[in-house]
Amino acid sequence: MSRYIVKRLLYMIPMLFCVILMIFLIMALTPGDPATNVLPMTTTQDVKDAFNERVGFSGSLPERFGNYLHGLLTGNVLSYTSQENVFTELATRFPLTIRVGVLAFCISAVLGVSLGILSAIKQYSFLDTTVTIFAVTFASVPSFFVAVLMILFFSVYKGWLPSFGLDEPSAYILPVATLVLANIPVLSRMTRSSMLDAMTQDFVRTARAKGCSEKRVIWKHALKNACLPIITLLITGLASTLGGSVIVEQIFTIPGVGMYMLTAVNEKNVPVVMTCAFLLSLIFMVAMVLMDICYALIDPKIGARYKK
Amino acid sequence: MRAEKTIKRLAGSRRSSLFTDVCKRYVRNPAAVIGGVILLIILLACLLANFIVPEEMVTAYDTQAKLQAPSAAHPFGTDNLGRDLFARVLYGARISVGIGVGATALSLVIGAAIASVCAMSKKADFVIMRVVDVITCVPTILLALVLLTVLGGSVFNMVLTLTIVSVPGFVLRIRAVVLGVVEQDYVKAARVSGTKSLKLVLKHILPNALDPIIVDATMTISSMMLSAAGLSFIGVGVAPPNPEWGAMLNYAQQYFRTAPYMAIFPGLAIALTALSINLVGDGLRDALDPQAGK
Repeated sequence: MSRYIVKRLLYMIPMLFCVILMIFLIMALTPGDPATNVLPMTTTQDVKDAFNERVGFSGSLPERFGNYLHGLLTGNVLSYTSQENVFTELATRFPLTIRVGVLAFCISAVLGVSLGILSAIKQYSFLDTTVTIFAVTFASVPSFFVAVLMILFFSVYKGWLPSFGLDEPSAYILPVATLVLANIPVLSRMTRSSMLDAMTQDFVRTARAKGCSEKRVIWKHALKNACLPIITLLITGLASTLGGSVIVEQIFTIPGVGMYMLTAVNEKNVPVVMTCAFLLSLIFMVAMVLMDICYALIDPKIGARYKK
Repeated sequence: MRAEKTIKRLAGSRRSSLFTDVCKRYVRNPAAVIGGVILLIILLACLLANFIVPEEMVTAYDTQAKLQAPSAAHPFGTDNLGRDLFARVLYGARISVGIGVGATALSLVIGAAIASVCAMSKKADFVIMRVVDVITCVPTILLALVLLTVLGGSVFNMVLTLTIVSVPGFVLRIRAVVLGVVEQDYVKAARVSGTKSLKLVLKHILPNALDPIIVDATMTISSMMLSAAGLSFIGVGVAPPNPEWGAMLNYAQQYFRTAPYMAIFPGLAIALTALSINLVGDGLRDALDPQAGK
């Protein structure tokens, strides 16, 4: 297993290289240079050249890519617009994104999975129908519309909750609720269908026949077999949580990673976009390795493949 | 001769009975029927928009009638420029449904083509899977944002962006099925009897592999629509003055206090369209395969 993990971690290096190369090449398709974008119109060519040199925008395409790569590896990437180190800027933004995201993730994981299990155990009951209708509806209503309606009602009409920023604890309610309402349908539907699938398997019938209590049948036999797809969803969900939700951060004006990315893309701020792509892809790949480890721990059949 | 005719008749009758079976099962599901009716109305509205409201109404503005609440003259009210919101929401349906269907169809075709190449050649498969690996580990939203700003916001570029972003997922799903089909005896038989690669793929492999994917694809139409609306909502999608629903919601944010209907009608339109597509997709899947998704 450890050999496999080391191999996977080493495999990340060429993958990350390709990711930033891809983003760099796509962004290089647009004309223009940072100095013309950022500095005032009257700036002389010498100043512009010096500026471009400083932010790593000089020479041919391969040279520029080399500059960024060097900056990325030494942790010294300059943002075009603010002239600050991208990593320092990100460090002030990550906490906001993580606070909102992790809070929403925990609530939706607990609620989504438990609702899914409950509606699978009590199939066709009132609860199951309600959860299904809720899931189908909220899977179709875009999260930004939910957010807009909640702002209209709770902030504009009732005046109970703030609709922007994160200055006070109550400001967390609306963004977190938006994310939770968007995540629960996916989780509960997936949990329900994989639980139902597991409950009709022979090993569940055997467990019941040999006299296991219903609790043990559900938690030990059915859930343990149903949990691989649920874990996949949870881990990919957590990984994308760390990247921040661009839409939610934009609606509620939260200066998190998502907003940072959106502004950077709009300003063609190549170093920022490349650093974000680098970090988020890294998080995603680490999450995938974690997922493989979880699989091996839970399912001995998968675990046996790595034992050599 | 006669035996052949009987076989043909039998085969024909069986196919029609399968079709009627599916229809019967579909009709028995009330949610699917409601979804189907709503979807039909939306599709008719897309087709017949010109007969309901003239197309000039989409961009025609009346400075005397800014931010008016819904009335007989303007059923959905007017926006900040005095444009009729009913006309904009109605013509917006063409854009959203067009993007959803266009991007899904394009991804399906490209995905199927790439997956077939994977099935036919081991070397190509290796290279393609590495490329897919790289694209899938970039966050979708970041890739979409970058592509849209580079390409520029138009309906066609939106379709192109959504296609590029979702093709890897399609390739993975179709490839998984195709690799199974390639191992089937009838494909081996066709290969041994000298069928050319292209014919093998088009005639023997894809028709058998796409069956389970087509129904899933109807559901991706709604998720493509939602992504397009989301991207337009954050201001990088379809550019004004196109009546894109997500973009309309975006402008509406500034007029929350005075004109909430500016946000509510486009939002309802997105939700209703996506809901009807999802209900139809769910209904179709249950009707085609009564065992799955109980």
